[in-house]
Amino acid sequence: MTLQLLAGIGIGLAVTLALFRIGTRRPALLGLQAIAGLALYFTLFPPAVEHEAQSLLVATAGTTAAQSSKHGRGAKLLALPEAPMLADVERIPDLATALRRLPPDTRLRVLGAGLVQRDIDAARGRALAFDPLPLPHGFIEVTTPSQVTVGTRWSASGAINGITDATVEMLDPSGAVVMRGLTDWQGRFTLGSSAPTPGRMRYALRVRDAKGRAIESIAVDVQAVEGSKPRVLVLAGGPGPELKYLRRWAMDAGVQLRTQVSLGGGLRLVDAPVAFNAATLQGFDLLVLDERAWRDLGESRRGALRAAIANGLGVLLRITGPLSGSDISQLGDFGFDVKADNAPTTVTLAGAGDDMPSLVRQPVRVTSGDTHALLSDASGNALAVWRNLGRGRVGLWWLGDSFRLVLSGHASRHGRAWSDAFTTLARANAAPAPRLVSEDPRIQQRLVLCGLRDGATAVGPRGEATRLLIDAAGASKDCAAYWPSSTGWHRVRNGEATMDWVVRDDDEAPGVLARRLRDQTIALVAIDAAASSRSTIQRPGPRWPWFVAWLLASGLGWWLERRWIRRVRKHDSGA
Amino acid sequence: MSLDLLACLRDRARNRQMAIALCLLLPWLLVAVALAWRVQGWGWLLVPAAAVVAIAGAWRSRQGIDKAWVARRLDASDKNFEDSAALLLEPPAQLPRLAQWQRDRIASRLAQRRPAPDLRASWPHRAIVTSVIASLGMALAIAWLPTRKAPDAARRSDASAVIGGSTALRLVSQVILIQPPAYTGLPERRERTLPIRVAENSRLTWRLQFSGEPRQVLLAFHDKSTLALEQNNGAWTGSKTLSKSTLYRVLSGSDQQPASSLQRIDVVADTPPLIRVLAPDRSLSLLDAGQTSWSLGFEASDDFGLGSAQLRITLAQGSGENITVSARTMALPGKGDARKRIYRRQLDLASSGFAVGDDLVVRLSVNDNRRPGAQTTRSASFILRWPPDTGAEATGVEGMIKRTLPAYFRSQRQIIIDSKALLAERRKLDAEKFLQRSDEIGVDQRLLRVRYGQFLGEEASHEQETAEDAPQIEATATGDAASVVEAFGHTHDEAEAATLLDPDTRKRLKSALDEMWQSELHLRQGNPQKALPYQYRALRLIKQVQNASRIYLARVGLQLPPVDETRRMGGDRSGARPAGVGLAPAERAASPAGRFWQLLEGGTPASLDAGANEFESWLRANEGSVADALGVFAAMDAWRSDRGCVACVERLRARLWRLLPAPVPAIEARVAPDARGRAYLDALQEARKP
Repeated sequence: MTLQLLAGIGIGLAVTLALFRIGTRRPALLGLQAIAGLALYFTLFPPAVEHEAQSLLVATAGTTAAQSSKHGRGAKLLALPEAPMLADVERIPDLATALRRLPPDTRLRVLGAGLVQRDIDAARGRALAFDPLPLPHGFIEVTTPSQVTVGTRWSASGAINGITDATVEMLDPSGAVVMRGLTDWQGRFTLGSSAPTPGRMRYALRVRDAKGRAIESIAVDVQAVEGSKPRVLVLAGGPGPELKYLRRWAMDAGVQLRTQVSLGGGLRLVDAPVAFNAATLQGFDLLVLDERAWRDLGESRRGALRAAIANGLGVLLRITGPLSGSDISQLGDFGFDVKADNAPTTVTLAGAGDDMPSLVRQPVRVTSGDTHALLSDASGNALAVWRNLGRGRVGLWWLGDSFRLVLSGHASRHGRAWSDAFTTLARANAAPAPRLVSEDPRIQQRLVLCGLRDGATAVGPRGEATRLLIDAAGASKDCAAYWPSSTGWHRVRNGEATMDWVVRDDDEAPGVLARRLRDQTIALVAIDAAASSRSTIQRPGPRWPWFVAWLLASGLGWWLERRWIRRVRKHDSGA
Repeated sequence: MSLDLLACLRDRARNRQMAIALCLLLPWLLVAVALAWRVQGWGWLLVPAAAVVAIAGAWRSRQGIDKAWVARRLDASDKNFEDSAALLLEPPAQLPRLAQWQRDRIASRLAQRRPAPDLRASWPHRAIVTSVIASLGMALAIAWLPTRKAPDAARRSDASAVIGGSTALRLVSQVILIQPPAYTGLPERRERTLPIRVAENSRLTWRLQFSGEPRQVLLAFHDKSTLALEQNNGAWTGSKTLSKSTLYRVLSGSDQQPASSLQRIDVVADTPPLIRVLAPDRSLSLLDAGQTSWSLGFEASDDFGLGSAQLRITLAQGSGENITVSARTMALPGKGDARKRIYRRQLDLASSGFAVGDDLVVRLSVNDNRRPGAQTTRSASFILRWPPDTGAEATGVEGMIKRTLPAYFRSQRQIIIDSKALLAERRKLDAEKFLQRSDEIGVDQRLLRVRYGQFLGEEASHEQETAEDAPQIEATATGDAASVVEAFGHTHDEAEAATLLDPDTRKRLKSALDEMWQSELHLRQGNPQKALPYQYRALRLIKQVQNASRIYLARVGLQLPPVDETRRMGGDRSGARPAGVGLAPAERAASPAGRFWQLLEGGTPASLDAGANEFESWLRANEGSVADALGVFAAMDAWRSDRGCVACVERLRARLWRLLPAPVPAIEARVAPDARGRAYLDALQEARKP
């Protein structure tokens, strides 16, 4: 039995008693009593009314006066530290501070660019609305690797806002344009380059409009590191130009190379004799062999090879001629469903220009479902595939004459094809390096580094070191947060492994920043879509109208009753 | 009378006052002068302004003294004046009687006063001395204060800006008088601002003026040569003929302080003439039936003017080895201005002895008017052939092949014949003509050598050809080597891409080429006598090569020794020793640019110095092969002169970046899977097992 019910019964009883006392001779008084009773009840327990939840305007960076005045009527306007100077606003240090002082169902309406990382957690779970500013013209998204390997192709991709037929150029550190491309209909672009030498270098991206005017340019800082130097054993059933240029590239790329070329009749070209057994295979990261050397291995050594692959060794089998039935069944044991094709066909590599020579692929088709393409021709057919086998990987390569690329001057394309293959297949034995989880790191903004162990330090541009505290509550237990207090190159050191990245200033790449703020705020709004759709809530209505009604009813009743009593007395005395 | 006396007293006091004021104020003019000297230019306005202020101040202090002042001073100096000296200023007629009487009394006292009262202010010795010392000290301080260095961005932006400073020696003006070689017809001009572009072999005369008297003035060029300037009518002058672009800096004083920043002069080389062939339109024409003359047309152009043009007509008669060749040269007059001329000629075939089976070969050579050493351009050779009787041809194929032969060059035997003929004619020819003919034979020798060199995989040096023999070939676009290869699509430095010869033939051919080299050398030097022995040896070697069994055409693959059929598949492996398969890594470290580039980012000063020196000596050695080496030198110099200048480092690094060799795609490391990853891979493997 609730208090509400008790009070209702009490009031009801009182009204009933009064009604009995008054009797039916005074219907006006009867009505007034009933009204007073009801009014008293509703004064105590006013009926719930639908009403607009309290809403709070939060001004963030870039809030305009027009925006604030549009929504400003009757709502409280608070300005976060990023907001520009606006008239008649209260400035708050952060959103959480403001929210503590307000009821939990307060609706938030974010004006301007959006909430920064600091306020995201405070705003989470709140009813939120967001009036984003239009994004500025120019770069709104740029994705680049912070660390690249010397000589390999790295690419910068991103998006341009508000410029039709924009041309994006990539400038190397000397200011020369190395690549140029048009944006697609969504304004997206991808440009690439390769770093010639280890070190930190500053590329730049520049966007020009249809008339060729430079609109914006932003710096792309890249650190180039030396490539890895895998230990590779090359076995070949015979010498040939393909082998020669493969070895030439591998040598220049820093591969620790061992070569054994059979010349027939038991003669071999060997730079340093290697016994083919499990122990020596453990000392290699990649085995490159052609199908003749494969046949020469024999069953027992193939068994050792299989065990070595399961243990992490990479194998690349170059198919340089027709395969026999037994070859195909042996490859089937390694998980490749190989079918012989009719004849060698001419192909051109994917992504090649018009001046690329056409190459010849061997008559082989691989139809296994669990293979990945390593190299494709222009029409998307694989020229090399790989699949994993245990902890290692096995690749098949049936492009016959990649060396023609070198002869026609495309040595870098040749190198890239083989570099991709070696990177994919060679034994994975690099220590995990720290990595930057947050995108677009900015000064005084929290960023998250992962892949760390205890004792990791972050070093700022002036050599100031900060010990990083691993977040024990995180899922992977190897992440730490860092607040950079200066712009420029930072380095995180985790034992031997290091990772460098650049912290941008607040005013660099404004479009990228605006886009990020907008996206993360919109994401919050999307999460809270259900909550924010409930724009009205039920709440007890105001008591005072009921109280006034009760007072009026009671007063009128009292006055009527007095008059009635006086008349009765006069009547009595007169009588 | 007393009034006169008062005026006299007043003037004397006034003069003294003014003198004192001047003594106090004038020393401060020194400060103004020092400031003006320091600021230069508009600063000199300070001096007259300060003088005006000082004089005006003195004048004002003088004007402060009037007769009333004199009266007051008289009252104060002597009580005999009874505080009534002011009465002297009033006209006596307007005074009351008593005052008149008093006035007379005072006047008489003043007149009788001996010595006459001295109202002049005494000299403020201390103040004057203090003022002089203070102003002097201040002036010296301003003059000697070290200059704060101007921000280097501003300083370096103007390459010809003169380094200011506290040193008294400053380069005040520099004028360079440029006298282009007379043959260019370009006017003489004067340049004050750098950089400048001058024609090749222009004579540059510097005329530098200094504020101060330097003991010695030098121009130091970037190739370490110097030019000492001589003093001449208050200016330092010197001149030099420039044949290649250079950077220089003015050094002055006995300590050779730089008086200017690095300055650049670009030399624009004279280009050899260009020849365009109008007719015939093919290199090999066959004589039409009834053709009696052969019309030739050439158009030549040059940047500064064309010289003479010669048409060389060679008639080759006979067939097989029995060919007699007669050549004559005729001057060809052209129509048009000096820069562009058109040469036309109708060759009368009958008069030149042209007969069935003969070849008539013409070639135009045009000189320009460059001096010294006119540049000569030769056109390609054009052949008019009178086809031999069809009966004489063995097969139709031969004729077809001959018709498509692209170019003709003389055989070694013909070169020997030419050389002998030239030696025989030696007496009749003057030295210049002799040299020229010898040089022409040398060119033929060169063509032959290049032709044979191709069999050995040598690249015909296009640069040389461009410069000397075939200027009509556009120089290839400057760019990195890889892009050039990409553009033209074949390489010759790959042994496999060259023609294969057996080692013996190869050796002979190589020796033959060496002999041809020597022969060409002597021919070019106008020494056919010395060239002859080499020519004979070359001929002998070539005959041997021709007798060699086979020349294999270019194919890729290893060059294998001939198979010994008797041992083939016999299992006998004695004596079979495969050559090594070792490969040397490419010499990517050949250029120190990459190392230096890295050092500039974070090297220690010592390593940076070593890197800089290593790079600079490399650059000096490879100046010709580095694009815009002068720009690199200039950037180097700017960086060396101010190590703290961030912009200079950036500029230098940008220059170095362009010198970095093309990278070899390296291999990226793959991160080893962690325990979870390994477990997943193992489980995947288990699951795949049937």
